[in-house]
Amino acid sequence: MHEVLGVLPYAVAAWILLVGCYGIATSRSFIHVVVCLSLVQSSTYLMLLMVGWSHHATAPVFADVKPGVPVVDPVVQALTLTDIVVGGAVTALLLALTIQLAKRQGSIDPDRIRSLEEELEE
Amino acid sequence: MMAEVVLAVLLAAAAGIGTSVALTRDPTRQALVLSAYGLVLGMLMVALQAPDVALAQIGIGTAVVPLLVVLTVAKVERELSEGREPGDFEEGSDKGSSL
Amino acid sequence: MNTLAVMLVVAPLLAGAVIAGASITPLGRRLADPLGVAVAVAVPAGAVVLIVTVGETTRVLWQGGWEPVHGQAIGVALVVDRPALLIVALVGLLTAAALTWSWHFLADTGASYVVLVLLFLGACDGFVLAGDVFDAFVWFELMGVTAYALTGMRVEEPRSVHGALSFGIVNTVGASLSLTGVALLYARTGELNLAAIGASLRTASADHLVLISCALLLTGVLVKMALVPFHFWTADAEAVAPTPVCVLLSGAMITVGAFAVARWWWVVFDGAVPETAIRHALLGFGAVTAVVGALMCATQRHLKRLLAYSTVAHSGVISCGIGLLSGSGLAAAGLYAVGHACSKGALFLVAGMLLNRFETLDEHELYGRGRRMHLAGAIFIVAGLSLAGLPPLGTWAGKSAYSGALADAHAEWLEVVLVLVSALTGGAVLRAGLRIFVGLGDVPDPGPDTHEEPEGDTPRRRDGFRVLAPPAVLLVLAAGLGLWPGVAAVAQRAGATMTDTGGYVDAVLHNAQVTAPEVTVEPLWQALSAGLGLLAVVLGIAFAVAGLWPSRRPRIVRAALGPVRIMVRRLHDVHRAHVGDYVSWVLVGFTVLGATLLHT
Repeated sequence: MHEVLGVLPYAVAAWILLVGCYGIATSRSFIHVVVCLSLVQSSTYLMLLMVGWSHHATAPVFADVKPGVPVVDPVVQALTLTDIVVGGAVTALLLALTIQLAKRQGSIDPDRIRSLEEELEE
Repeated sequence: MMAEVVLAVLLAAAAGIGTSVALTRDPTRQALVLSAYGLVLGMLMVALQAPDVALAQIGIGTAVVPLLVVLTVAKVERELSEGREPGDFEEGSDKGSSL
Repeated sequence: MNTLAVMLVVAPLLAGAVIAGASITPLGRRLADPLGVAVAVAVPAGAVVLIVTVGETTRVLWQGGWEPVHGQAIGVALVVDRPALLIVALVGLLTAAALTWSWHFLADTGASYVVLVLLFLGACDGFVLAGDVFDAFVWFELMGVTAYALTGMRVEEPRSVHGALSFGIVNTVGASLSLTGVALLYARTGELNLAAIGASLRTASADHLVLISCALLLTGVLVKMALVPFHFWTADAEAVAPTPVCVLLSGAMITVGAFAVARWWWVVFDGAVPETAIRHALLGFGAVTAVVGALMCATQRHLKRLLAYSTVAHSGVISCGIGLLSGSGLAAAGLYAVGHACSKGALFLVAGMLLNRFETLDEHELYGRGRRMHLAGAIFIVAGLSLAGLPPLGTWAGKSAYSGALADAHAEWLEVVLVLVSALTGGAVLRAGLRIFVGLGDVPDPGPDTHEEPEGDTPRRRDGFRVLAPPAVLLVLAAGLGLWPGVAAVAQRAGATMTDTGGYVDAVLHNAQVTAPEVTVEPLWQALSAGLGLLAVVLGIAFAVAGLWPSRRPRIVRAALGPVRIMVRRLHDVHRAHVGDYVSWVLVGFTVLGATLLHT
């Protein structure tokens, strides 16, 4: 891949990570923050899969692949699968917390919710 | 060569749609864009010879998470419209005292 | 023996599942507390048994029998050695204290509170013992998710939910950076096993890819360790989390993070990444963290925020200890971490008692109201002295070990930071303790309403044995640290084990019998360290007195405080931010870390 695509895959992963962080930094809604966070996480899926990809290799499903045929690295695929599930769980948890925030604070705008840093100093 | 072209196109699409996910401010619309992004990511994974991962990604990233987002938006809007006025907790007192 | 080691990880997870399953019946719900405490006590007990039986050797347990062949490892290994077991024992102990304290606590959440605490314990143990980087990552995520959920447990408290969200978001960004680092390391070496990655990296000098993946991998852990500027979530989470969770976040998570930094450095990067690079990074981040944390801690009125910032400060000191890159430095950091975790745990638990009784954590509001809580007050004040490191209490053992390690590394300037951190964090706790439990000082301005809901379902008006015993036990352990004559030897041997890269790699990849290297033990009790310990306490008391009687401060003190006050005000402004800023700071920190590694 690397001789043809060059650094493009890594650049795309880095771009998605950064753009997700940008979205979080400028966000006016915690729902938007959580979605941007899932974007940040998705950059790691790309990164992992790219690492294992190899030109002319097929999917590592050995039902119809003869021994000796090159396959892409199944380890990173297993990692990605784990990562997707973990990411989904984190997103769900944070969305649930966002609902509670709306219920208790009456707002989900990070700018409008009072900072937790106490105004009171000793 | 074909595979590389497909990959490059899908990568570019992922970068583009990913950017619009972050830049879409309205959460409901963002959920839709996220769903499209999840689909592109799933296609990219197929192109990367990871069909089972693509399945998980399309299930979770394209269906479940956007659905959760839409449900959250609905629930939050209901809370905000019937709950107390936004602003109950906002007033910041600048009563910092001395060191 | 091998089963016992695996049970350290499995037992809490299994017990969590059993409790969750049983909690659908009323009887099952009543079982949650006893079973939870029993497992939480069994884990440190098991760890101690293993510490004795494993001795100074390194045991590697290949799950499913996938042992390495010709140095090629594809199985999943648990690496059991004394440093890891010591950390497991500490985490288990803190969990046991936390669960005992919170017996019948948060019963309206069903048993999920106990379940989550046990999952957190299992995840910490798994993370510490994991021999490969992806398993470590999965445990790391489990640790994170349970911690976010525990922080936001009291959903009826708006601030609690907000703190949990900030915590979750910042830590997830950190974790994504770490995972990117894992991917890059795998790309370079084709290995996931820590020892194998290290062995592969050491065959060539580190290029930019390795340096960047080192920075990425460390960033996620430094977020957990709450180093500046990754620390913004800490005070938000620890100010609002249920008290026992605060004990775990400040005592266990920081320590586990520090352990991971040390283990990954020596096993994976040492010999590939230049030593000066990581030394500058860890010492720089550590010293800044220590100073910022201490200043923020000293100027808080909210008790849990005060304790949270003191955690930040102490985490900075621990980072400096690792940054010395020596066995003695690690020994010092480890001793310090144990002293800190026990003292801080006791302090948080007493703060929780105050919250449940008076429904506020504001130091001014609580003025004089704890006068009749003699035992709790005594624990709080002694724990404050222990945090300040009054010989032989608490952090002093660590600080004493630091003196030797700093001299070895020609970094004596760090003594100033150590004394400052001890004096300011200990002084702030003493000020609060004397104000609340003795009623000393000027009558403070109460300020606006600072009411908070109590944590328990039925606020306890009387503090029973179960509430007072855990902080007392933690305090006794913190005090015993410096008095037990064998402690220096244990710590320094453990430090030497951690720095023995070759030994770890041989044990894991080549199934070799590896024993910890012999060390010449420096005794803790030396005039210099005892003197510095006393100096820190005297300065701390002076700071507390100055804070208690603002009206009687001499003019020269006021003049000196002027510029400091302006600086501290700026610091507070920076901390009064929202979660987007926190994430931006994580990226800034990552950039600084990466630049430090690339340019040295």
